[in-house]
Amino acid sequence: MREITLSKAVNEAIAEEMRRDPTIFVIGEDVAEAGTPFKVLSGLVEEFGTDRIIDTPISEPGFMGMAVGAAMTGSRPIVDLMFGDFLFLVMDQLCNQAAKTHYMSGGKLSVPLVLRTNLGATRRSAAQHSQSLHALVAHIPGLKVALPSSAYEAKGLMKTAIRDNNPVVIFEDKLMYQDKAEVPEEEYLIPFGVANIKREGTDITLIATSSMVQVAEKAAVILAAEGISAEVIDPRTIVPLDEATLIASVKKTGRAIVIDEGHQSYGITGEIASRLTEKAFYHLDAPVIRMGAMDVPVPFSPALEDLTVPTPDTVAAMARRLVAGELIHAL
Amino acid sequence: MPSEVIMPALGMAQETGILVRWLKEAGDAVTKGEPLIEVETDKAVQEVEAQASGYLSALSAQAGDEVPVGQVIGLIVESADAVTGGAAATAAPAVESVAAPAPEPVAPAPAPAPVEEPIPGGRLFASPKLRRIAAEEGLDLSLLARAGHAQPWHMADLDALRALAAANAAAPDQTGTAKPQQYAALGQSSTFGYVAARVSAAPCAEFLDWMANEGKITLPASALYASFAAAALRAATGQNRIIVGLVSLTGDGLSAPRLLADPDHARLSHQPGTEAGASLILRDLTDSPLTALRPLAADPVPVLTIARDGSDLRISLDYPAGTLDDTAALSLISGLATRLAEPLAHLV
Repeated sequence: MREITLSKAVNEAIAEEMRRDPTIFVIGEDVAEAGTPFKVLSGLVEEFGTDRIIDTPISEPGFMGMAVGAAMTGSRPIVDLMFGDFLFLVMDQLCNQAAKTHYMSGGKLSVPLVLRTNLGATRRSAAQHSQSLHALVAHIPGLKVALPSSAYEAKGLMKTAIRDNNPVVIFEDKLMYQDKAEVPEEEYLIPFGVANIKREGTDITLIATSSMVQVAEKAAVILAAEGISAEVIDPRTIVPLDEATLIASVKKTGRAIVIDEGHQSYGITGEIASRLTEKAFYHLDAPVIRMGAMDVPVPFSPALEDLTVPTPDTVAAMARRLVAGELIHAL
Repeated sequence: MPSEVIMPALGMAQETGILVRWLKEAGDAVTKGEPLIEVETDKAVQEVEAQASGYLSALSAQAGDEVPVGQVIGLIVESADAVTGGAAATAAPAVESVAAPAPEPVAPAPAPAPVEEPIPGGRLFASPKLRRIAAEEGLDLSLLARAGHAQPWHMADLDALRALAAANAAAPDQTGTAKPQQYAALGQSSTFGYVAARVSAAPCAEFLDWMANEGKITLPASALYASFAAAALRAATGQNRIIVGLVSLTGDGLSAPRLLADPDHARLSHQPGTEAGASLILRDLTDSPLTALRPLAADPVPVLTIARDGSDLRISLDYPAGTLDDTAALSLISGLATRLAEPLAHLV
């Protein structure tokens, strides 16, 4: 099968959907001629013109608000937010308007909008361009949140997001844009709320999102060489979350580490760990461990930045301790 | 049978606790689960519940006393008639109880009560999954504690727990609990004194590790026990020649005694054997989950038993009438306890 980059996969997904549905348009900063700083949208403006690939002034609240209004009135906008860190600028439009309109209008209005943005540190972009803020929006009812972990996932999840009649926020890992994966020529969609068991195992479950799926898979390889069989699961979407698959895995292995690049405190890892503890408590042979980004603004110093996110070695080390039955936390 | 009230371990590294106050007085009726004492550790003051129902008796610690973890501070007896007053339970700090020989013709010695073992550390740390499986299979997790398995326990400890439960069910007579009539029958022609103590297992273990690492000499712990037992008996009785009959528990039961001549005068790495009769039987149960083993045979020699009890060693001495007097028995058990607690001091 052909291999394409994650960047190309997203481009294909948007182009295919735009050809299929003329109500879809893209709006954001540097999306047309520039094709975004990561070149994800290169070529789209040539095919669809500036009426459907719309460059805006530098005003995130402005274009986000316009997109929400357009979505309420029959269009299907794809909003391009250059960095996930800029979410803070669009919070009212996204969380107070887009997320709630369907409910507050008694179902008369819906907001079929996709906000595509990114996450991920270790790109030497400093604290204001390196955050992984998906927990912020996952907290808000009315928003769906997708976290593709490869080119294949990015294309299938983007197409599903575009066809959803409610707002979806999709975070791409900005370090993965040039990563290639097998992506079929023919059309496919990946449904929301269906986790992907990337690797089967019996000793411990590694639940990993987005950028951390590769980390977990590498950790599993390290562990396999030591005779520890790790199962790796990518939830794909954190809203909706495929609890059943996660719980079934933990019932099998009795141990779990949840790995996500958002800050560890009050984040995705805590939410998933808590659900496992509530719903699989009597199957746990060890505490469920969270591994998120360190609770500090991401440092600019490369040496320091690399210490703030989980790595295959730190995940494998924690898995070893759990499997060995070590007392993890002082009692 | 009376249930011991002990100073509980409320923290992982706690060695002593301060008895803040008794919430009941001697003679009061006590119900299992109701608060009995308040204990202060370096972290908090905490109420501790009664582990049995009955009447509070034999209080040996007072409010304000700092008491080593595991030490008996009172008893819960079954009837109000059995209540005794204040400090009756401890003759020496580490000694649990002394049963004087009954006057010979009057009555058979009472059957020895099965020892009600407190769980070291009180609370058990086990994974939720192991707890569930143990509950489903009817396995008592405290068996792991009594066998000295390090906490926390996980599914990896399940096989050990199953084995302990099976051993427990299969061999109750070895603990003396299932066949009291034999012991009672023995008591008609002979009487036994009994004394027991508890000491930390750590000093001996550290000494043996030190010998292995620094001296490159790997010794069985039983060599240490034999030497110390002989030295303690020699000090207690003034005997010149001491033959220790070392008995261990194997898969087939108790081994025949390995007879060692004056092991306290020999090198630990070479204790010469002998054909002479034993002056002391030493039963080493430390590799088994058993914590007590009362003699059934009427060997006319004292029988010392060393067993593992959590992180402690439990040492007990059964002495048939005519072998030792009570003073010598106390001296023997105390001497052994102090040697086990400080091996280096007694080997130079």
